Amino acid sequence: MIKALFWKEWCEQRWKLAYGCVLLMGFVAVGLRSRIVQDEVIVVFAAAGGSILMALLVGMGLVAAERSDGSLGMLLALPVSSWKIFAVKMAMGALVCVGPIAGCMLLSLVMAAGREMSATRIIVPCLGGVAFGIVMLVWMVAFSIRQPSEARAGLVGIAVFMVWVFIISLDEISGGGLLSGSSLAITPFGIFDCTLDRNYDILPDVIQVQLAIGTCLLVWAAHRFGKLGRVKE
Amino acid sequence: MSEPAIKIEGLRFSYGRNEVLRGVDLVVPEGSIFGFLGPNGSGKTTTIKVLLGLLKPDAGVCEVGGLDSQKDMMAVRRSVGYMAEDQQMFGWMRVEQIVRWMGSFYPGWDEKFVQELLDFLKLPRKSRVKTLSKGQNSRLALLLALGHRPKIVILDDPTLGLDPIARKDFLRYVIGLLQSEGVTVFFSSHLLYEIEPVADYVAILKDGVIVKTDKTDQLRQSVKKILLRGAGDIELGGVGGVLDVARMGDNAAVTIEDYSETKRQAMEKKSGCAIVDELDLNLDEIFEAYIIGNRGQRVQV
Amino acid sequence: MPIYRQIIDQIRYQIATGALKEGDQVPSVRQLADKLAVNQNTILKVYNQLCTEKVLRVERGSGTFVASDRQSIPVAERKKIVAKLLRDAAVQAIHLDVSIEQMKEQLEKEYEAIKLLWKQERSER
Repeated sequence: MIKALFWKEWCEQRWKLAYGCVLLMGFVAVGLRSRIVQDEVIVVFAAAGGSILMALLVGMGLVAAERSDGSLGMLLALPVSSWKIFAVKMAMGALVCVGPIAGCMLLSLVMAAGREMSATRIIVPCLGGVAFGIVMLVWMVAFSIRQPSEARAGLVGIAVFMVWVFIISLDEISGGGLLSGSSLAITPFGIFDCTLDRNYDILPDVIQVQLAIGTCLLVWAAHRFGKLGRVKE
Repeated sequence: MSEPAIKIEGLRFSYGRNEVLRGVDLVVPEGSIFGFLGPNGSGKTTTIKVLLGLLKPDAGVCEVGGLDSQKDMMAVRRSVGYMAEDQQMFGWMRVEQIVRWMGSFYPGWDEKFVQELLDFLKLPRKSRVKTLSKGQNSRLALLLALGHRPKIVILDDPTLGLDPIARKDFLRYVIGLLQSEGVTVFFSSHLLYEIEPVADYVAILKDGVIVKTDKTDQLRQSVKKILLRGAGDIELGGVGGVLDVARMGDNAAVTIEDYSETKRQAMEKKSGCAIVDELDLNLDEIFEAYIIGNRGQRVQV
Repeated sequence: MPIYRQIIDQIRYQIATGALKEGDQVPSVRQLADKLAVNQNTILKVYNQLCTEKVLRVERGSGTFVASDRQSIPVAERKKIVAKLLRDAAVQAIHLDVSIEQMKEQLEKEYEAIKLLWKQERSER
């Protein structure tokens, strides 16, 4: 049963994986080859930008596409509990989201390790990107689960990202008064702060907070996913 | 008397503040073809969803095959064949893929039977679901509901959107495939003329309650339109079972259920009018009387 | 008119015109139900009634056939069946202002036509 669910999600989402890989790894390949800018810029851009892009792309289609097709009803009527269905979707989504970034990491290691950056300095931001991507995916799905179309879900994802930027900016503007730096923990930007600036002091806090928030959001989303059949008539 | 296939007692359900089901009581005998009738939006789909545990009722008990719809949700779904209204399936999958995919969820999936069904229902194995016509789509949905050889099959408006020929064919499949095997078929529709040839029993849902449930042929016989000759105000004086009163030319036309000799005498006595004619009604007229009939006790002629 | 009555009338008509002859096998309950897209219990009811009227007979293990001796229905019974049909026709005729002479003429025409059809079917056999 679970195997069948995974197979279905894989068939539906694999094009996104291919798309992301071609786009991001292509970018990395060209960038590192041509050496127009510093290697670090290429790698960070791919990791950060890529994570946002993939999260949006995957998050859009996870639940909303199923709804707009109308096939969600069929899925929820199966003799399988809805949280299992949701879990499989999220798992496959995370994989597809993360894949291209991992690919970029490997490519960068192959092409530019030890050149301008050490291997570690390549790996760390990419891992950060992976983490950021997953967090953004979770947030996006949780808030867009009732959206009837992929486009709307995508807008919610962008909105989530903008809210994070807003929180960070508020924090910066208020000079530490309002949220006193906790914005870095609440929004997953803390991940980048750690990995890019190598400010590992706050890393444990960031991880804890993000795990807590992420888990709550996932549970909430799974619960709402199961209730999706209700909205009718 | 064997256990009923489906039993619903006191079912209540509201969408927010809109109370859709207000105490539905229903019993579906085992092995019967049961037609569940009601105008659009009357709550047929809601009732069916509750039976499958897709919705949680505010009150009441539902049992399918002896299993509780809420407590044994998954067991019910495993043992029941379900076809949703206007079922959209995964368009990208090929017919043979979706059939195999579906089979992995049901321990009782009969692969050989499914292959026979694919041929019998004339479904193209290699075609993608999104390229199927409406008729093929409906037949595929039916196949997916029958693959695990359920003893109870629940169809929600299965002929929606089909042309008359496709509709007849579909019902033909239902009779041929299911009635022969003694499978209980519970299906909803808002077309009574379609239900009549096929169903053993009929239940009419109106305003969230079942207003009539009967054997199909008895329903026809028990509801009659009585013409009374009179003038001015005609009072029926409390005769029971009046579904509709109207003026018909110079007569009062009273559509009444459970018509009998006793009622006939009561009507003549209480209204003081002579009964001019007793008309048979077709099922559409009967349905109309139940749904939009004027339930008064007096007519002006 | 209820569906089972329509089917009964149809079978009777087929027998009257010779399309179904004595000894012919009629389709099984399942077959006819499938052909007409009608509930099997309805077909069962039809066959049961026609068996009671001795129009059809069931042979265990072989199937259902058109009964060979329809004369086994008592004359009074047969007359009653026809009388009812004639009464309905008379009511209609009076409503539509068709005279009894016209009716007689029409009845003879129809009767002969069916008999002719029947003879043709018989001779073709």
